[in-house]
Amino acid sequence: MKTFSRKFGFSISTLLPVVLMGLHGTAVLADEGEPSVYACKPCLKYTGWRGSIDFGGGYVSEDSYRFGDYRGLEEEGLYLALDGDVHYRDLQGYYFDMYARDLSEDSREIDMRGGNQGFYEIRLGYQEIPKYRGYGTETPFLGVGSDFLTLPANWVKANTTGGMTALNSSLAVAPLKTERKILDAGATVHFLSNWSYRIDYQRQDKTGTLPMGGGMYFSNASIMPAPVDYTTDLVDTAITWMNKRAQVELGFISSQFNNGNTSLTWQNPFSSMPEHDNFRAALAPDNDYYQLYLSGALALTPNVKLSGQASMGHATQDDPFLPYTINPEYSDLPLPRASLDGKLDTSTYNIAGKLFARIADGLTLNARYKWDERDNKTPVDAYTGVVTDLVPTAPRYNRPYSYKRQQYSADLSYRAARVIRLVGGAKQYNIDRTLQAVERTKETTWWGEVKLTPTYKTEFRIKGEWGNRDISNYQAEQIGIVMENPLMRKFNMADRQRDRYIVEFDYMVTESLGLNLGYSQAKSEYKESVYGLQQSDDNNFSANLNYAFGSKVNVYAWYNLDTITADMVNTSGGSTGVWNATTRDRIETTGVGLKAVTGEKSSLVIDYVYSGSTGNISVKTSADEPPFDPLKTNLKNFKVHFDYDFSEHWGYKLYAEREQYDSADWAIDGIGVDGINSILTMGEESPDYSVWYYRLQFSYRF
Amino acid sequence: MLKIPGSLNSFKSVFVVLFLLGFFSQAYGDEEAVGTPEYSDGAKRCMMCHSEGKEHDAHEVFLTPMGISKDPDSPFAEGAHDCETCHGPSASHPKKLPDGSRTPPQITFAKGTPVGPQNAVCLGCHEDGNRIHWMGSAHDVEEVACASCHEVHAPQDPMMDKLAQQEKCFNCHPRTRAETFQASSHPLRFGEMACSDCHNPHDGANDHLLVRSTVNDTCYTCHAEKRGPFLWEHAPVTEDCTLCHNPHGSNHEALLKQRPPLLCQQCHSPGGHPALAYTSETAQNAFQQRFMLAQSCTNCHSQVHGSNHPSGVTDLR
Repeated sequence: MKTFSRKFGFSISTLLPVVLMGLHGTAVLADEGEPSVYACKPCLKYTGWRGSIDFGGGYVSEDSYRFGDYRGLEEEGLYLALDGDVHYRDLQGYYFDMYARDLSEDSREIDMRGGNQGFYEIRLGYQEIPKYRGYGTETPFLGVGSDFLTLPANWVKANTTGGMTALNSSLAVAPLKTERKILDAGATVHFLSNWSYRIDYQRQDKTGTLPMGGGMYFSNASIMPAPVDYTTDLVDTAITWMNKRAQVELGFISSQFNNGNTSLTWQNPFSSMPEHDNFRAALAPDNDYYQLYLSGALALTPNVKLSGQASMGHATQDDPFLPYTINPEYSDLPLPRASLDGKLDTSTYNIAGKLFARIADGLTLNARYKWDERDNKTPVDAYTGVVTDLVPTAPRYNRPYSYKRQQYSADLSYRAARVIRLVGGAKQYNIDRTLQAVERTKETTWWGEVKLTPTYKTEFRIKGEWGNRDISNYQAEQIGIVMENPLMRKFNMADRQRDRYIVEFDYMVTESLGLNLGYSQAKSEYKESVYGLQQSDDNNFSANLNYAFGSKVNVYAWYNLDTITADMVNTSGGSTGVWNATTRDRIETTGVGLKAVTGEKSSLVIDYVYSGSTGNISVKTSADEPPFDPLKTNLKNFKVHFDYDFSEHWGYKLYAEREQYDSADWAIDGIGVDGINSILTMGEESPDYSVWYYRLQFSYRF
Repeated sequence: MLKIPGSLNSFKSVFVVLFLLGFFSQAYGDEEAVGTPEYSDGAKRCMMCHSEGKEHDAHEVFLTPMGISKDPDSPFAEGAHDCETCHGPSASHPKKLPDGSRTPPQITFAKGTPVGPQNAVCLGCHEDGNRIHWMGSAHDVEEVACASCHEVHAPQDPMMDKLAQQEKCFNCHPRTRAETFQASSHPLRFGEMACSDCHNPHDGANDHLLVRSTVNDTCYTCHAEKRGPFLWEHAPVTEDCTLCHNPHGSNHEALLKQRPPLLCQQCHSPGGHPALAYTSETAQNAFQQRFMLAQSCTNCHSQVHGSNHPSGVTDLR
């Protein structure tokens, strides 16, 4: 008997699309809607220039690097205060927006964009971010900010800091400050209705000094201000196509890092055996990174959507090597190559595919696969190093680490009416590593969530996650010149059981009063680890309260408590040298405030935040030693902001802030520059301050 | 009879697939509303009750990019339905109900309105760029509405302001707010950075909704000096910065989760000084102090992120 296809010359499979087309013929012809014949007359009113300029002055009551951290208000005294925003719109679609903040301070920022809406946009921005690390720091080294730190001519070397008789007279204040300057420029063009192209360029310059330790074998070390002169140029460009069903983006990212200093050389302040004058360490080398990516999404049907992202990256680093040592005694040690044959290659591949499907009414499936790989193609050679410029060692091969990570996950979500929503899922996360103690780790996590919404005023959510990680054979590796303890388990490559719970409750007590409570716990146990991290426990509780007095006044309060505990075990030698350590961090943060429109022309904001932390560390051997003194921080910040418009164009802004901070850190407090006989430090102290900051600005609106 | 080439079966299969794709794409065409909702005669009608100075004013939408009617994609462009482009045909909205309230617009962006229809309005125009992977992302799965974060009628959407953006994020992520006040943190609470500098809240392609493919790639945007590759690498650094750092804030210096020497001793236990017990009593010991006080292990091993020095195998140089 002839089949249908053989009888009629075509098969059902070719007939089906024709039938379907006929059934949905009206959909083929569907249009966007009837054209309108009127223009948006209400839009016409809001064209032209408008904006505001705020100018005035401020006063900081006390010097404090910590208060000035990120803000640039570290010195007592008067400051100009200049902010503003400017906007333009016209009937042809041209627009311009500019926002400027703290223009007279070290944390100044300006952001501008403009163009023709729907056709093109040009962006330009500039920002500065100051950062202080270490407070009250001093150093005897000269040439701070350069790559060669010297000592005064009258310097007296000694085996200990106590013997450095010229130290105190040589000290000079040396703030550890970096300044980051960021320039952004970009443009976007829309064309052919579905296409757009954008390009963004960013240059980051970071200059200043950072603390860096330089050791001398096992004897002693100096902490010094190392120079920072970083430049990062980033280009991010992409072309995008979209319509109702599909979106595709093809992009390219390029990042080039340049360090103005290749090394730091410093004069040795200690006596050494053998006697040696200068040491030298390498600083971060220049590097380049390029990435090409393709990202897209396709709605196969209104209920089924597939999205994915693929990228290929390539990183190179090709700085010429320093010699093994600055010590002339070993200057003839040959390097295996001048700069790894001119190139270190590392490439990364990242593919994530995600399938999202609404299977039935209220039922949704998400399935996801992600793979990323770091393939380190750095050549391997043997290097005969000189430890701290003094002691030659046996040859060691470098270890160019690679890894491959794969994640598979799926979750099913079901909403029954509007009251209950159930979600469940599973995830598997596999990592394959090279040249490390473990070749493969495999972690499987199951999770489930219930969300109840009995009314629109109430929502209750509970989620549980249970994860188990298994590892392949653990092989201890060599670090430096010694072998790692075979019983040590690095926590990121150890068998682990991890459970996590989240409970959240949202309640609109009344239309004006809202309450939110939340609790989460994440507990990890490393039961197979003889040495290393044994368990960690992370608990968080939060509460938020919000009350609205009408539409003009809002009062809020919030509270957050974190407790993070970790236990570990290690040994200084065999079973007799076993010791254990427990750390417990408790951080309590709370805030209250008010935001009010106090009249037609005035507004008020009051805000208070307290954050206090305690860090307890206990390290015990068989002698059961007492714990360390607690690490403490206490921050109290109070702000008031009052704006008043006394005419159509003019107004003033009053701002007052008080920040009080005190802290204690046994590792640095009271030690000073020479408190440790074998470490020449910079005398850092944990900060304490109480600073008032006032600001009065006049505001002109146009 | 016309001779059919041997590859016709393959061709027919492709043909069928293409037709099916075409069929499904047509199934995505406009769905004309069935029933009675009608459009009014535009914004001039809405502004009779929602203009500047009225109780529920909405005039400020004209100060936003949405209000630029010359943009052919604007809801207020010629051919569009002005306010009803987003709120749906709402000609009956001015009519009073028996209880004195107004008939609500077809779509209101408020608590109590299902999130799906709300978001479908926004995604109808804004599913490009960094929203390509919205469907199935964490915020989509958790049924977060676009209007939960964005204020479309405001002259400046709070999401475009670094401080206002954080306040929105912290409503659901209160722990992160607390972390920004800790001893070391990124400069979020001063408005120098925004959550969106590292996270794309619309995107589900990358872990933790990050803007780049991996955690490390995101960090290298500003910290490219850690990227290397180095001659001597520190393995956990190449794998994941968050193995040692908490990017939102920490009680310890440099956003570390744990301080040295314990941070290092969680993984290292060879013979010699790395594995010694540094207790509160040994802190008084003139020899042991060098391993515990000041910067602890990094007093000497300062190149913890990797070293390009030929003698830098133990991160000393």
